[in-house]
Amino acid sequence: MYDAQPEPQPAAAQPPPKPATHRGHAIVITSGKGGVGKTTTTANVGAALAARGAKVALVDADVGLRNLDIVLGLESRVRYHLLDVIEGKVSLEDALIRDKRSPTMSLLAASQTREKDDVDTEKMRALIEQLRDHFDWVLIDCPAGIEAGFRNAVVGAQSAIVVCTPEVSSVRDADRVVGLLPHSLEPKLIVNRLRPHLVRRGKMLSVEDVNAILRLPLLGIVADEPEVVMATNRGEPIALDPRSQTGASYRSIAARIVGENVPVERPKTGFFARLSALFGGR
Amino acid sequence: MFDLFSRLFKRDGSSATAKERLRLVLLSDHLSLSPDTVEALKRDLIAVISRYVKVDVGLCDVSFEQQAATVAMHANIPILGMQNERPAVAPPTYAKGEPRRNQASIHSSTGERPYLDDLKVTTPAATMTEADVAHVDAATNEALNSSEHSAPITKPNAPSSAN
Repeated sequence: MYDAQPEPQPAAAQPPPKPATHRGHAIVITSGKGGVGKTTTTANVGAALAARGAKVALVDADVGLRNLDIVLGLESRVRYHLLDVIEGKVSLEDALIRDKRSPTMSLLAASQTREKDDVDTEKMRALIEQLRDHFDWVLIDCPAGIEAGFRNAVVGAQSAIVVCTPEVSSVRDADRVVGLLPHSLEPKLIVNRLRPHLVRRGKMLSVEDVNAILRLPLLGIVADEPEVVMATNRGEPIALDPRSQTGASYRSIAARIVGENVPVERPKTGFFARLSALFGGR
Repeated sequence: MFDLFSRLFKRDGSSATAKERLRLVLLSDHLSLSPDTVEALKRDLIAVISRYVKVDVGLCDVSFEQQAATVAMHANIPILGMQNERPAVAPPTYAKGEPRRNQASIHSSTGERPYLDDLKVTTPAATMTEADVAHVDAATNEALNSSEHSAPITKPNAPSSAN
């Protein structure tokens, strides 16, 4: 916990989220390649949006391999999941898990025991539509790959965020995904896990190198910092840590998502990273 | 000490390698052209141009660049001179009566190559096989690299007259 918070009340009946006056906006977070940080990005951008007071729903569309609950530290509270809602077993309100740290943020977990093909695409679209009635922002954590899970994650979205790390394989897969996304989603780019000192030494692709290929509007740059790993270990989004530079990167991404004119800042390399770069070359 | 020094100041840009690999892999993704096909295209391109002008094969570069909606091919082929000029380097001498190659094979991987007109042959090469060409190639390289440029080219199975 970043701040001493009062012990949350026992799971009293949560009031269903009130319908927003306007319909919310659904964003799919995708990458093609696995392991580049889609889930971490979803959790942190969601937390940063919620910290601004927006009502945010996070949807884990990675049916069969759910992880968003873990990254958010909500794994012990998952009772129902996306397929339960789609198949009409429980109401959407019952399946949504309210994040106690970010009271305006809720999670709809994926089912761990089912397969991606079990999800009906049209019902998935209807579910996202329903969420848009209740939330300002619906963030959909897309599974890796370009098969059924990808299509289901994309179907209800109005825009897309492509997460890409400065690696050949990641850029290649992102390029493929951009080609598969409908143009109407106007994908934006987050370059994740950048190591500025490696870029300076010509040992890592730069943001410009990546975007020379992808040619997307740049939504943000997130540095590869140990604090992200440590926050994920604890199940606490780094975006909520006011002292964290990486957290600030996510907060500025959230600001740009809501339409604030905030320039994309370049992550600076910390003193110790520079020192180890000097002596270790890494 | 030198190791530390070089490590402190070395800029061994593996990102340049990454960029080049990325460029090539995306090119073939977009065009459905395999790297082999691109290499073959480059080879053929150089061979055609070499009929008219002498080119610096080692510095030839054929690349593809993505533009707004299309991919453009850029060929940078440095021209050394007209094809009928004499080369600065003495040509290898050929043993009399030996079959010679009747075509220049172009390898982009080597900077030092015989000039194409030196390899033009007057003798028919009906008997030449691919193995012969490879052998002649090797011998020609050897000849160019040796100071006397006099290594004779032999049949693959015949003993070399130089030995």
